[in-house]
Amino acid sequence: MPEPILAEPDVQFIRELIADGGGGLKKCFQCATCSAVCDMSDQAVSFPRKQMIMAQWGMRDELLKDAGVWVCHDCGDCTAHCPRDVNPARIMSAIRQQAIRNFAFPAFMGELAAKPATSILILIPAALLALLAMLPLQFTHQWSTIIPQPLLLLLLVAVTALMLCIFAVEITRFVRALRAGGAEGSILSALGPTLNEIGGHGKAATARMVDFVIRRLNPKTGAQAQYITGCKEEKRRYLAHMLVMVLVLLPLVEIPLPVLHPLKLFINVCGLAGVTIFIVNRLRPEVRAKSTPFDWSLLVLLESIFLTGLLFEVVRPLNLEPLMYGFYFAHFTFIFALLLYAPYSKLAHALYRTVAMAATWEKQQRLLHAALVPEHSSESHTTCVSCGTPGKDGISYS
Amino acid sequence: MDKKLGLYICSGCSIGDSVDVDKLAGVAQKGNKLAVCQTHPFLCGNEGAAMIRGDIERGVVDAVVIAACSPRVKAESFSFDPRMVLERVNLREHVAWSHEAKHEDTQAMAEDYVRMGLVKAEKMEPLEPLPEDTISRTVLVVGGGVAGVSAALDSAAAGYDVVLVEKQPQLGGFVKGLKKVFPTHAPYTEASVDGLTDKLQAVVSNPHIRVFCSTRIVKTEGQPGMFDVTIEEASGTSVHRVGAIVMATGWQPYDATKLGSLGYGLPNVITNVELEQMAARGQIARPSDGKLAKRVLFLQCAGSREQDHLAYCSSVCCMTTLKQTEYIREQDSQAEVFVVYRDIVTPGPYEKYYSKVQDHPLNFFMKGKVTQVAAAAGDRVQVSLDSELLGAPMQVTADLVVLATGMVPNSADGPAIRALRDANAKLARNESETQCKDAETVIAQMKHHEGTEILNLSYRQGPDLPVLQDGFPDSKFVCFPYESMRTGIYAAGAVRAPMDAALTEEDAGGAVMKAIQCIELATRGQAVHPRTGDLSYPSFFLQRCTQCKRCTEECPFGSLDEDEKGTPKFNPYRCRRCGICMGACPERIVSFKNYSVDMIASMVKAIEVPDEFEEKPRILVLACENDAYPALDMAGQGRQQYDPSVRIIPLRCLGSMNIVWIADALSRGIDGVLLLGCKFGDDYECHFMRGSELANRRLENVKETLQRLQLESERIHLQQLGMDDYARLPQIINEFAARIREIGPNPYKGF
Repeated sequence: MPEPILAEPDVQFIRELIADGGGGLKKCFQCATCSAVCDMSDQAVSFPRKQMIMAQWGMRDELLKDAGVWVCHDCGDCTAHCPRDVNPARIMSAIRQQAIRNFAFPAFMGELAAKPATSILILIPAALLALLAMLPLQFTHQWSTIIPQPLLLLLLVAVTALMLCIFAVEITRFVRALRAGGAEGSILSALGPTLNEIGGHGKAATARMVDFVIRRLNPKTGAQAQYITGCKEEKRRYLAHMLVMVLVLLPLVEIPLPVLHPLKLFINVCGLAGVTIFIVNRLRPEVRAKSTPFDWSLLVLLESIFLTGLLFEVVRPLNLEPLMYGFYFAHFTFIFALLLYAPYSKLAHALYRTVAMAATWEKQQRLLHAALVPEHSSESHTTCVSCGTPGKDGISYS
Repeated sequence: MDKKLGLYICSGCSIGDSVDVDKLAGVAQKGNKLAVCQTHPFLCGNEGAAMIRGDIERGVVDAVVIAACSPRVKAESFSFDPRMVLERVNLREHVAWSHEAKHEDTQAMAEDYVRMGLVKAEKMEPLEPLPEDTISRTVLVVGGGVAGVSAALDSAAAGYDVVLVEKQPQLGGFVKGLKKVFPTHAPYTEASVDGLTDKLQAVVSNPHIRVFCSTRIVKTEGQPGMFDVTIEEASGTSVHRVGAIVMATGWQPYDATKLGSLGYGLPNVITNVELEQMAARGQIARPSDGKLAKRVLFLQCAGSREQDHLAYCSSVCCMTTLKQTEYIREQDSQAEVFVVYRDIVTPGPYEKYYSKVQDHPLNFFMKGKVTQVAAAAGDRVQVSLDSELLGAPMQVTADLVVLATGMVPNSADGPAIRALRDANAKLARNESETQCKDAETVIAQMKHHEGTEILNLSYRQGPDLPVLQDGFPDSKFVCFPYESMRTGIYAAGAVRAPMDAALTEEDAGGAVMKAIQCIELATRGQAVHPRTGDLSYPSFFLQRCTQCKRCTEECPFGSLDEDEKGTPKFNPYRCRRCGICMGACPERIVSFKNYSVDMIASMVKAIEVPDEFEEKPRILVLACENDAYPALDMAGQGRQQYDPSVRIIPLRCLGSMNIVWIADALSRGIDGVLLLGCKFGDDYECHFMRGSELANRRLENVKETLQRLQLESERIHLQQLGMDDYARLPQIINEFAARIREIGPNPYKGF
């Protein structure tokens, strides 16, 4: 006999959700149209309808423990079909925002990151760098008169390490919450397939991405990109994400390579293109209306990093000193800001979502396959006919 | 006086392709003395109709038989003096369209139908309207709430004076006592403040409306057009002559003392009505300590949609709760309001109001079933429920719980009160022991009806309207929602069905239109629905009456009262001309000028019955004109073919079937009798309430007789159907015919 849920709505939570863009929250009258169109939902799991009613009732704790909120890939189908203009996709985003704020370590940083006035925090890395610049040390490289390179590298490593430690604490808290919320799967063993999944569905990832690009350029050719079957709204995002993933190659930029080196060029162009796509997407009127500073700050930061980096490399051969040093300084300020505030900004979803997906991997696999690969819905297979992933101990794809 | 009978046969609409109309005419002329016998290829056209009209005007014919399409169509082409004898024989839908063309069986069928039509026309008499009476054009409105007041204003505006009677000292009913009413105009997001003041003002100042408050009805005698209503005020009684009655007595809240399981009885559990009264007077406070409630919980469907309480939804409780959440919010903007519901019913534009109320961050809606309501510390109330939306049990502790209870109609159960009175009378007369025991059982069951009379009709069948199990006046709902089982009395507003004030205003208008229709038809001596405009009426040959009381009991509308000896007294304006009395009478003393036992019996005898060697059975089909006959027509329209052994005779209602017709049919050698009529039972569809049920009961008696005569009781079958069963009809008929063939020919053939 399950313990009854004691109804004590967290009104502050509700107000925060509404302020974070979830204005349609109370309008939901539980018709479950969103659940009917959602790929993540099946007969046993009524997603996101249940999350809506939990949000309406200010059930903050339950929502923060819910892995489903993170597994949602924000395709927007629910919003597209909602008869009451509730915008469940936006409310999901708002809940994720709340989660990031909640698991933030230390807690006050989470609160600060939520406010638009956060931009003044940029001054901290700027101050740090300025400090370094004022150290009377002599090095060989031209631009090291501004900031000594070895120190810069040291700082980079230190900040990255700090970021990773903070993430570690946050993820530990998160996993504890997920376990309390019922997600029982082994995370580590599911990490590999999860990353595969995110990258684009295993072996066919590259093929699908190319196919997707071709289809975008010429809609008439190209086979059905099955990864995005159910997702009618945010197809652009897949491309943009893939392009921005080049961030992981960022450290390679630090190797002194000529500007026109193909690798460097590739990273710069991809990164810039990706972020620009994100920004252009968010500038669409219907998306802009529902965006909050939380959404914009990350994009602006990323774009600034790529722009200042690119501009620096353009100006460097021309040897325009003040501009050169300015861009350089700004570039690294933004980089450190990104790293330091990653655990509190929207970027944190990269870890939260991955962990949540891994924790619910087995279950989600079944649902996703049933939705994306029609033959799974009607027959029993012991391995997925599409990608060959085996079913486990009696779990068949049907 | 000998009739000048004219037979007109149409060969259009492929009738001519199916039967030989000339041969038909020949057969008709041989058997009957006809003044005119004409065929025409297009009888309903200008030329054809003119031909008939011409013959009538020149006095060549004074009784007309038209053998063409169904009597349900082309009435405007074949409209003559409504009093003249006119019989329509259906050669199109029932012969040409539903049977094989040029077949001898089809020809035989057509010949039979023409013969039957002629024999009936021979016996019909021109109609004479009811003797002129002074019909009152005043409408009595019972009840002065929103329904009664709206009805009064509508009636007066249409030119019909009103007598308005109200039990309470002031007009206005429930709506007057509300703090606010549901939104009355776009954008439907604000509750309106005043529902009724203008209308009350208008009623009181209208010279055509006489208002009597603190008044009750002592007695209602008479019939539509001539009701004599005795009312009693503080100052004494008076009698008023009215033409029709609108019953607008409204509703009362469901008795919450029966809702102990939902916590009623705990200090801070109140009903929606109690909350409204509090709000109208001033502040909504907790009854236990008079403080404001920080958290209020509304329980919807309290005592509604339950087997043990009210079975139905009252349609207004959800909107009432939404409105009341705003009262709470007005007092305290930080109050938390919870609504636990099974469904939210906000029809039409009220949906916008629901959307608006939902939008407030401190309103919480949850779909679920309440499992327990218990007391909590500090006189708070703990409500446990199974939340359907979360799939888990929940618990809410509130300062104040409001039960959204439903509406119960203010009606009186006429037949029940009568049964109670009869039982009391039996005891008083000191009847036999078994009779007294029966009477006591009845009294125990019906005791709660004591003193509930409203209309106090001086009708033999009871002092008030018959009601359904929930207390709403019985009507043949699907077709005639405003009607009641007493002609000239129309229910409006919440006493008819649960509804809000806006719908009630419209409803009152509808009932008034029915009342006006009734009055106007009475002035012309015509019947009301479903035989609207019918000039015929039953006459009773009382010399042969044996006072068996079947007609007075079986008339669905209580048209017949009795004198002390038990002789029926007919009230023509209550009558709907169904003929159920005619079917009931064992002495056959009831007849209409154009519909009688003899006429139908003669039609049965006019059917030619082949002898048993020809192996052509004959089946008599008695079809009621309300659902069965149209279904037969529709089967014909769809060109559905069925067994040609049937001979269809339309009846006004299966209830008008007299057993003697079956006896006549069987003694003539007809092999089977199929009765087709509307459905009866709890969800009855009989247009005259219980005609087909009565026919069914009479059949049970017949079957006994049949068995004694060594005739198979399966030869007689009553089939219930709806008009929408037309697709099944051929199958029904063919199966019955097959069954009859199996049983074998009627042994009385040839006698």
